[in-house]
Amino acid sequence: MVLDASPRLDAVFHALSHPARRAIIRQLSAGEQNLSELAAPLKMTFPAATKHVRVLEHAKLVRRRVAGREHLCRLTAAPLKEATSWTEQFRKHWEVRFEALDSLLEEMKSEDRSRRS
Amino acid sequence: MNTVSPVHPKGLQLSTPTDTQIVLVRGFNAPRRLVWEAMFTPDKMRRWMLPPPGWTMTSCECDLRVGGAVGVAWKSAEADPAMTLRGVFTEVTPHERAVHTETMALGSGQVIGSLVEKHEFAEEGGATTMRITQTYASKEARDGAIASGMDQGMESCYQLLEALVA
Repeated sequence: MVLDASPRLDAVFHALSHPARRAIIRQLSAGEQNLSELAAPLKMTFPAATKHVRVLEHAKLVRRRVAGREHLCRLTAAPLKEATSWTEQFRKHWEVRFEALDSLLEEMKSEDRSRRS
Repeated sequence: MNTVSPVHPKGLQLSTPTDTQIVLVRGFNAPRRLVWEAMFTPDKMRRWMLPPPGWTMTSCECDLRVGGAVGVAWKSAEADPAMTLRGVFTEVTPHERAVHTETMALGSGQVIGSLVEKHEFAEEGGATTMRITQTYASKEARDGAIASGMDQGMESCYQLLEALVA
């Protein structure tokens, strides 16, 4: 069991736990967009989109800059990379157990063969 | 009846098919009676249920019959026990399927996760595919397990992540 507590990763996973925010990320993967452009295809009100963008900003998945009257949002991939690598660590933890099981099974197979011969 | 399709190569597959579940699928190059024995015999379990670094397993029991208990305890330099796993078998079909409840608790007694764990085994050509399905009482409970590192879940997010960071 991997006891992993990272508030930053918690924020990333929390941000990703809502379908609307995943939709926003998907849209932003195409490039920078302003808040109205983001809200429209998602059939979201402007305040709702703003709320979700704030959660994404908190997780540092989105950076927002103000240009004139526009709020431009851009995806920042670094926390996603970190989250993916954390996932990979977890997978490895289980894989290590199963590799131990592989060696045990090899032993059991040869014992089994010698018992039968 | 086999409900598990063979998986090759050995690579571990993790998924979260529903909001309350975590599924692990792994192939093994051994007949399923041996995989079964390795999974549910205490002296064999000690060999693969590796604890976090610095921890040791202090006890391991597995009474493989309906109503029988499964129990494992670990200690660390700071605490004995540091963590315990306790459960009861609710279904046992030798070499095919075993279901047990499972409660993980810290040494203090604080419960950190409660789930039902189902093991399914399918053999083909001398190789075995094992599927472990963990079912939690709620999405919150599963996500709690994820948060404590028992799994990371959220397959849809990962697909998204992989696409984005590739």
